[in-house]
Amino acid sequence: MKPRTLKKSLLLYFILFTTIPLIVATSVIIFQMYQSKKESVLYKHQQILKIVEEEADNIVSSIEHLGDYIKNRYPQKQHSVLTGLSQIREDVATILILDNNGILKDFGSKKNLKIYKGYDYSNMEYFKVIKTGKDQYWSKVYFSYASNTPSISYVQRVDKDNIVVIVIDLSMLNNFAKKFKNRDGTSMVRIIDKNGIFLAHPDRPEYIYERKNILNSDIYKKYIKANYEYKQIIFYNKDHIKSIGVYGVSNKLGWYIVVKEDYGKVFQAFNKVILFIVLFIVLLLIISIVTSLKLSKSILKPIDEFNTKMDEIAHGNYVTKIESAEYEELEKLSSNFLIMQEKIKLREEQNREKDKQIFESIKMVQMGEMIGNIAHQWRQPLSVISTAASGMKIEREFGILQDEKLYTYCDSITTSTQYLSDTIDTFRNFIKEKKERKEFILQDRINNALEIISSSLANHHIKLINNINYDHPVKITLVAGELSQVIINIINNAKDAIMEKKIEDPYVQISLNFDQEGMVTIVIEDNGGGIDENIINKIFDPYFTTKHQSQGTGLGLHMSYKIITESLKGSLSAKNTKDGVAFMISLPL
Amino acid sequence: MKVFLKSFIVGLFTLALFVGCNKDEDDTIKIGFVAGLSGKYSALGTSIRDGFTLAFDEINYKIGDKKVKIIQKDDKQDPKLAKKIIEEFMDKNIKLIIGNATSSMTAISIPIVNKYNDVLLFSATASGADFTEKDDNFIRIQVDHSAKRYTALNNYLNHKKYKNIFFIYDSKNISYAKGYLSFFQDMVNKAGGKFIAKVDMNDSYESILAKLKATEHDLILIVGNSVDTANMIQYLRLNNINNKVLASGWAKTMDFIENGGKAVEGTIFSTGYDENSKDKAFLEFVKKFKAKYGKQPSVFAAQGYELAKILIQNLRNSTDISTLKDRILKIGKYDGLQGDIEFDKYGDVSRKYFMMEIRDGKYVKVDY
Repeated sequence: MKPRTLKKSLLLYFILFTTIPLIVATSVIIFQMYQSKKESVLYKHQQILKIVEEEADNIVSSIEHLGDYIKNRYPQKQHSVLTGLSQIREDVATILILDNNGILKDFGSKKNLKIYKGYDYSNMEYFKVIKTGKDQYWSKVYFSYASNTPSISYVQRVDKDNIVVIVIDLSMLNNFAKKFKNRDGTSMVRIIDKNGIFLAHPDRPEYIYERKNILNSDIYKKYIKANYEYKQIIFYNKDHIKSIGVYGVSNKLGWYIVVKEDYGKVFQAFNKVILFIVLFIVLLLIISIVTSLKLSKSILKPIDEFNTKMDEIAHGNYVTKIESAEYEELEKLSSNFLIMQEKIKLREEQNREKDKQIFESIKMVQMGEMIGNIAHQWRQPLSVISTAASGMKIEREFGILQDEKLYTYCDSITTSTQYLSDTIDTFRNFIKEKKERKEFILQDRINNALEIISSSLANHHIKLINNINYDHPVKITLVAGELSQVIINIINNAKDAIMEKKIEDPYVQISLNFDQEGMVTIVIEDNGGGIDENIINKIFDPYFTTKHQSQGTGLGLHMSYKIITESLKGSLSAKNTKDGVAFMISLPL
Repeated sequence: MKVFLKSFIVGLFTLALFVGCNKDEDDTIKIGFVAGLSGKYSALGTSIRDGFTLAFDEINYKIGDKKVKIIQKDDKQDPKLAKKIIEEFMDKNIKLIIGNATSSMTAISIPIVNKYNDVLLFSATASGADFTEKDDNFIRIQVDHSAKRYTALNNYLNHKKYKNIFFIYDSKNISYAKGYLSFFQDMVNKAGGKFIAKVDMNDSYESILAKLKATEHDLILIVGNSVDTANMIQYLRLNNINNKVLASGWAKTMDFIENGGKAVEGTIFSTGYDENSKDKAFLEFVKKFKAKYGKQPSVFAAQGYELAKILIQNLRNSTDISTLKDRILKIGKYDGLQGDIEFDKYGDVSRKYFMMEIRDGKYVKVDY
């Protein structure tokens, strides 16, 4: 998993910790404000509803009182009572007196009606109800020719022969409802009868004349049907305007009384306040986000700079400078870093000095080894020359030196000196080879190295098993002397180990493996007893040696490692085998 | 990070825009409804309205994925107002209008809607003969005045041997009254009878009474709305005019019986609807109507309901009003509440007519 960047995390936390509490707190406050506003609206509506309910019941009671009044007075005073009452009382449109058969006996009305005494109203719903034995009855809304509008009537039995029908002018209810107005002048109150027909709708009086019902309305379906009275209701009216209010059912006649306001208007001022709060919070949010951005930037700026500088240092530029930071903690970090940088710089210089010394020592060691090798190579021809010279001298003294023999001795001396001369060329070439990369045959380079070391091995009776074959000549680009130096070094170490441990039948075996694609491995194996497993990891470290101080510098394998890994881009490793150790030099082709 | 900030602010504004936006109006089918809804003529109009809205109630005011909005207007049986309402509908781009209830008001609306190619006026009850056999923007499910409509009535008169008919009509719906004058009068004349007097109901009762007393008549024909007709009959009976009364289908509502009392007993009607029908569809409708409104439906409520059903069936296929009339007529035959409703190529319907009489405060079918 890719690690998150400090920058992003820091910014995220900054923004979260500044915005979330702000948003949560604001939401809670707005919600609470909204709730309390709703509650206060509900309280107001409930108060009005209570008044309207009481008043509606009063109106009903007053009509019922009128019925009682007529019941008491009509038989004596007759017609004058009816005309008088219907003229005086605003709430009464017409008063009819029916006989026990539903025949119109008498009537009084505000209007000049085209009805006549003797009309038969026995089919009227209210008459039928009274005939069932009821003393009084409030009719449904019906269309009455007697008043030419939708009406409701209060019907009461006066005595065994007479029934009074008080036809109520619904506009009276409408006028009463009109008194309760919203701020915008619209009416707050609607009165609806049990069957859902409008009795009062001051904003739309035509609804009453059209006997319109609310059965399809949102408020009826959602609330009235569900008996949701005296609770706050939010609904859409016929014009899809959202309304808020409350409804109740009147005691006397079970009328639905709705008190409502335009939701938008109720919350107009409130919404303005909320809008202001929201805008203010948005502003705060923007400020906090911008501040977070800046803050995280200012904290991260020195860290970013450190990063850049470290990057430079990591890539070897030790002289780059770190500027002092704004924050104390970072300042300390920066000053410590400066000290560290100084120390690294110093150590680097020391290392370079040491490397120089190492290089000199290696040179000396190499020279020593070369001279050793030369000595081994020269021993035999020199003894041939010496034998030939002393042979010639003795034979001359005894006078038995024949010409033929003399030539033989001279030839042997010439051959030996020629061999010595050739050996010198080989060594000189090895030392003098230019440090430039050239293409060689790998097998040639290995054999070149083996040629140099072979005499030394032979002198110590160590068998050199050469498994290098030329079946697949491998072309490789390298600096000529380097690979030879590594091979010689490894074989020399093997020789030293064999000699130290006095191994019987010692050998050194060298072979070439094409094990991996694009890689070739030179394996040098001996039977010198191997390396202690505890130190096998350290053998390539500088100055690490198991040899006696006079014999080893601890630099040979280190240099070999550096040559293989750095100059030849390969790898060098060692592992213990059954009887000794195997070194693997892997080189890219 | 500036991008983040920008997108935050842009997001905020987008949100505000969305909140501020209103619903698209295209997903609503607007239906204009015009009838006399208040005053004396309201028995007819409110009945149609109640039946009509009941059908839409059943489908929750939704056809396919579109909402139905019904805009109700009251023409108050006033020609000027009726004209204004239709013009307003046209201004508001309301293409489908249900109305009017009476023939006179319909006669005002038709010429206005005929000016447009994609408007349809659909009446439940207008029966005026003026609109018959015309390829226009009008369609109805009421049987028009024609000789056929009066066959049953003619048979009845012949059977009863009524010869002299006293005709009282409402001049405010002259278009409807004309049907009686053109077709019915012809039939009566051919059978050897005659219309001995034609009197406007809006004249004073006293003058009507005087004329009645001055003539030898055996049948009184009253063409008026339910409450006017009932009140008239009450007056006539009170003044000892006891001849048989034939009332127009216009008056055939429950208000007529309520306002007429025993005075309207024996009144006869020529009608295509039977209140006592045992037709399953009709009984189902009565049940639903009573459950919603708490009262008995009139024939006009039934016709309003039938009209709505035909409309809904066709609007389900397409809400294109310009082809609606053609599509309704192409199907031609619909299940009515009392038998089939069948349109001719002009959008007029035929239905079997029969006689009904009021007995014991109820409409009763009588066979002659």
